[in-house]
Amino acid sequence: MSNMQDTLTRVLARHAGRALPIRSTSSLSADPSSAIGIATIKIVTEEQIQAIAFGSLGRAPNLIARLDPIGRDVTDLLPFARFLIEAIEHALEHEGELRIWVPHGETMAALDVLGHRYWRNQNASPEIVRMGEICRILAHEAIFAGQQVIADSAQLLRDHAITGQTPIEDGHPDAMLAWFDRAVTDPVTEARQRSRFPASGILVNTPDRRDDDRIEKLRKEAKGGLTAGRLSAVQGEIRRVLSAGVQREWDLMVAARAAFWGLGLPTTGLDTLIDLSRKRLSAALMQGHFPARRADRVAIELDELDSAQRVTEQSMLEADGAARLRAKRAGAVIAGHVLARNQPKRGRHPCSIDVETDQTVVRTRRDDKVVVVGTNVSGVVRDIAVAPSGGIRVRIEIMNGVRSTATLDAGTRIEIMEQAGAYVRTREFSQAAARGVWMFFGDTPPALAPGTWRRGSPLAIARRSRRP
Amino acid sequence: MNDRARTSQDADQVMDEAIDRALHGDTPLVIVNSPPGAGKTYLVECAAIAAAVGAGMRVICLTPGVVQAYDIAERLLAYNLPRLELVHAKHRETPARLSGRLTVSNGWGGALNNGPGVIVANAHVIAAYRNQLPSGSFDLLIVDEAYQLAANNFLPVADLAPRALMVGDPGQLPPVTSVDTSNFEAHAHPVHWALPTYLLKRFPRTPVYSLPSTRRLLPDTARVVQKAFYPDLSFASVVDPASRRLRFDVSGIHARLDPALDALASGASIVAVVLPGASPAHEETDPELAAVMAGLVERILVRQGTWVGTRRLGQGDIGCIDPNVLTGGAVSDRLRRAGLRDVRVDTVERWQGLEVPIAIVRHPLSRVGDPEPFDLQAGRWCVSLSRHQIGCIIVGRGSVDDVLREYVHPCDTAAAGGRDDVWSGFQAHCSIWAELQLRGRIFRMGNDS
Amino acid sequence: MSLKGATALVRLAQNPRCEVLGAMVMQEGPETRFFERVVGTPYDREYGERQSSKRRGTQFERNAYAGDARLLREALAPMVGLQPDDIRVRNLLDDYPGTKDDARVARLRITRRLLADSLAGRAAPHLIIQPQLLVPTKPGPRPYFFIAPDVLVWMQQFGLYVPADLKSFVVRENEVSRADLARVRLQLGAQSLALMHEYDHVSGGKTVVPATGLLIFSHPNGLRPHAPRTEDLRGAREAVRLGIEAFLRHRRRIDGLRAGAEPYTVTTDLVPHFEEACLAQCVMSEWCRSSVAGRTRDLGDSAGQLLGNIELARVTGLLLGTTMAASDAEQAIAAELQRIANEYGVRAA
Repeated sequence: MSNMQDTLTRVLARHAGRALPIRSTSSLSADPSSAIGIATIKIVTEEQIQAIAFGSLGRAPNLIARLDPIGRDVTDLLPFARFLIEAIEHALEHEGELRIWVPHGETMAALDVLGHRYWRNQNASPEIVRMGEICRILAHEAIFAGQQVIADSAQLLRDHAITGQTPIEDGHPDAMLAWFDRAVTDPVTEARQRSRFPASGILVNTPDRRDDDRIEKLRKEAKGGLTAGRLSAVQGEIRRVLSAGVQREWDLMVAARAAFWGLGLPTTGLDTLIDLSRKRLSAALMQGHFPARRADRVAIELDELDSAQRVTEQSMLEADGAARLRAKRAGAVIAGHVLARNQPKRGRHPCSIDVETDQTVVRTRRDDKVVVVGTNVSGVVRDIAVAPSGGIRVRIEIMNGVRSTATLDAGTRIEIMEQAGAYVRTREFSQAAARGVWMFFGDTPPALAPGTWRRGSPLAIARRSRRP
Repeated sequence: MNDRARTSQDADQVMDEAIDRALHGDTPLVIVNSPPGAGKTYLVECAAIAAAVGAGMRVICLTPGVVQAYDIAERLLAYNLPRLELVHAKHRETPARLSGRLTVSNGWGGALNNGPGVIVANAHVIAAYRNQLPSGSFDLLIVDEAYQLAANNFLPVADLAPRALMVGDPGQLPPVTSVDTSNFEAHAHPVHWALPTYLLKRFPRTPVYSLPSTRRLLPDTARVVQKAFYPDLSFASVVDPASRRLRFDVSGIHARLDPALDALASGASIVAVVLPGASPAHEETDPELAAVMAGLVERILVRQGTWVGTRRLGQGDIGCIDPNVLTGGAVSDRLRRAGLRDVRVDTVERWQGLEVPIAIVRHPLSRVGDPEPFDLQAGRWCVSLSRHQIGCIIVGRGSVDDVLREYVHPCDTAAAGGRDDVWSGFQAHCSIWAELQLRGRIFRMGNDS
Repeated sequence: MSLKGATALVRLAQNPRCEVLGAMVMQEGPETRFFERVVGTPYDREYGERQSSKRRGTQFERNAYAGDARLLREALAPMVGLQPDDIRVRNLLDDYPGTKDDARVARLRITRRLLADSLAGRAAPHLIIQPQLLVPTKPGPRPYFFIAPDVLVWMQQFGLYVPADLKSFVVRENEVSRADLARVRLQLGAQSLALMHEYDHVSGGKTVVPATGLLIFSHPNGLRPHAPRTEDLRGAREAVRLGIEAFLRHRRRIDGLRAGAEPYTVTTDLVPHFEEACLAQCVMSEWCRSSVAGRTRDLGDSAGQLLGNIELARVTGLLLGTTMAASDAEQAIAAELQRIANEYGVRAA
């Protein structure tokens, strides 16, 4: 969407008093029945989770309020660990099917830090260690474009709709939700009021409600010798404040999820992304999480990220007409009609088609691999020329789908885009690592014996070798 | 001997030393930094020939993309080589200009690489066939345009030879990546970096040679470009301005466009034409600016622009460089409507590695709103301003002055630990614009335009 | 928390055109007090550092400085170019602890002496913990800004000190939010400028201070420092310098208006420069926002730039057809608005 379109849509949303969808399809597939939710409250900068809400969607969550999150005793996290392990076991039994809703990206960051702390912790129980590993795996999956496991409810709303407030205000999930709530008659004012309290996985700490400072003080008090009665009261208050805080985060997530599905966007065209996501997740859960440290592992990770990005873009272009329209203007999609089909034997190779478009911007180049949108037809661009009509003519050698009649017949209107390469060079990079290539795996360059071949000025040798 | 000749000789000396060290020295890796138009592809040719012919080596020349491989292959055809082979991907067709002139293989074939000679290929295709190529299959590995090749794309092929020579321009666009690489910026192995940059981080004592001259850029362009984009690479032009003169056989009568063209003809190699005001916010392209760019092309041809001593300039001698696909499309459209279909209009990325007598460049800051990191990226501006052999005309809006004056650097454009290329680009923009202003090279069109 | 030191310079660097910000920097006392005095009601949103953050920050520093800064020496050894055990450390808080001005001045004197020693080739510590620097802005209120990097690190590469800041927020691989990155870089930029001033002071302007600083984040586990990030501060230093220039201009204007009264008293005569980013960091943001109420800038910076900060009512009028377009641009905007409205089924012309 261009900046001007974004702005005008924002104006319209302000005028209409509601959020407006900006995509025609959903980037998230339908929730499986096993979808769960996680919300957290952390201690600011400490990045320690002090409260967790978790459970199946549609039911009240389980709440854990941690009395001493910085302490070594983590038995209070066991219910969450077991829940997570159970969810993962279900996923493994169902080919990686897993959906976890979170209120916002800060939740994933908090879970990742939790993961960092416990996944190799030799003092923690096996369940806690496994919980840590799962958290790291989930946080890693969340960075892949098109992944279908983690549903960041706030980000989903931002990606699929525009509100009538500033983009920075959309960073506050509760403020954003004011624009999705039909019961709110003045979302401008309502959103600004809601933004008074944070919605980023931390406790409120306004002058009239210093929950965070209060908890800090209560914890300190709890550490000094108190009577049993006083200790119980202090702990009770800590639990109350934390539970209320994390319940609020959970409620925000539930509301955001409802708002997202309330947009009614079709969930089509996501099979490839679902498949990739599940495979990645299953592999990580079975083999373990190993952060990339060596050059080959970093290279593999970059390829995986790049591949996910390409496949996601292609999926989106195929599924979303609005996105395709924008890509057409930028020349990344060519919309035209088949001018001629050159196929000596029907249904067989060789086969090529000439496609003519009136687009003035075309980004395709000779030898690019392309697909015809919405079909199984793919090929290679062999020629691009200016057509007599003033448009552009593209010749495509068909590699797959030579039997397609409807698509390849003259007169058919088609859309063409570059074929996304999804290949990850795991084998190539791993083999390079096995060979111990010095440039990437050595500490010092090897010393070579100086060459003993005939020397002379290389430029002079080249000049002498020049053909007359 | 005059300065030009001396610098040329210095360049030849640097090339000789670099190649000699790569072929015969005791270090396995030599890097050559080359400013634009310094003759790095000539260096690659000479290295390949000296290795194959002079030292009987099996040489592989790798490039980031296949188009560069075709170019090198074509240039090597000018030499007597014991063997010259080109390898490209299975689905590719050999370009007509190479067809039948050398051995071309779609994919790796067993009959290739027998005895001294040269194979030319892009890195990806060789990586795909590594299982057929053991380590040390070659004696020398040459990488052309090394700064356009990300280190990860070189990893699978890095041990094809015990010796490597890498040649590239450090001032141009870095390798393109679509993913967020912030997490890798402070990593021990930032393999998304340009290959030489990555290797120099790991092995800072790697011998680096710097070509001291440019054979493409005229002296006054070279001064501007070197100062703005190559603080660590000193170079001068060895071009004799007399060999790059532009003459118009028809006098200028167009008050808006001709003064800038006349300035080119009188020896200014970079000038700017500035339209008043700002780009229209309600339009995705700036039709007025596109019209001016197309208009300049037309004026050059109508006025019978001539490269003195060489040829009358044709459509193929003028190139339009636009950082943005859509706005470039508007220029193409104008040119097409004027019957000028053979003028190349393309983005900066696609202009990398190419040169053209006259370049017409849209100023990237001629846009509505605050400049984005994309607009300010130093490498993009460097490539735009270093394609021309005779003259470059920057076309922009008056709002460029406001943007440069009021810019507030957000300080969040580089990942933690990363180099701030956006700031470098902003500084380059400021220094170049100031230089043009100082020299009276900015031609401002009136409001009646 | 009042706007002083590097915090003030960072804010000025981020929004140099805002005169209200200039008044806040001039005014003694916390920002929230400024708000109360101008707006007339207490500030009801969260402001300032939480107790939990202060605690962690203090602990991180304590850990880093413990044992003669053992963890810091290990982390910074590659930059200093020595083995950790060979790195000399001087903690100026040991000499003059506290934040009172006389302690700061004492630390400033020591810092200057150490810089001079280092330049002269005399023995000097490789790490100076809690040094004190200064950026002068006299004459006038706020004649200087005290700037206190966490550490000055002598870098072998330059043969000079560079500022280093310890940031206790957790960084896993290299994720640092853009807002945090901008802020910490500008802090380092302010420190680097202040260091330039101090080096000028001791060397008569002969020292070229590199535009480099170091950021030391915390690992997720415990309070161990990450490997330091070397930061390119060219842009940040210039942004701070421009911020200071802007402050001097604002100060002149405010002094001219207030005639001796407190700066907050002339706030209504000042020109705010409201930007979206203000909403995330400035107590006066909603007050300044009223200057763009009912205008396109109320929808964000981009909207204001693209539509020219006209009245929203006018834009709505174009949509509904009740306002005549006054230019080609408005005609195009009206047409596009109506097209989008039709797509969404929203009432239009």
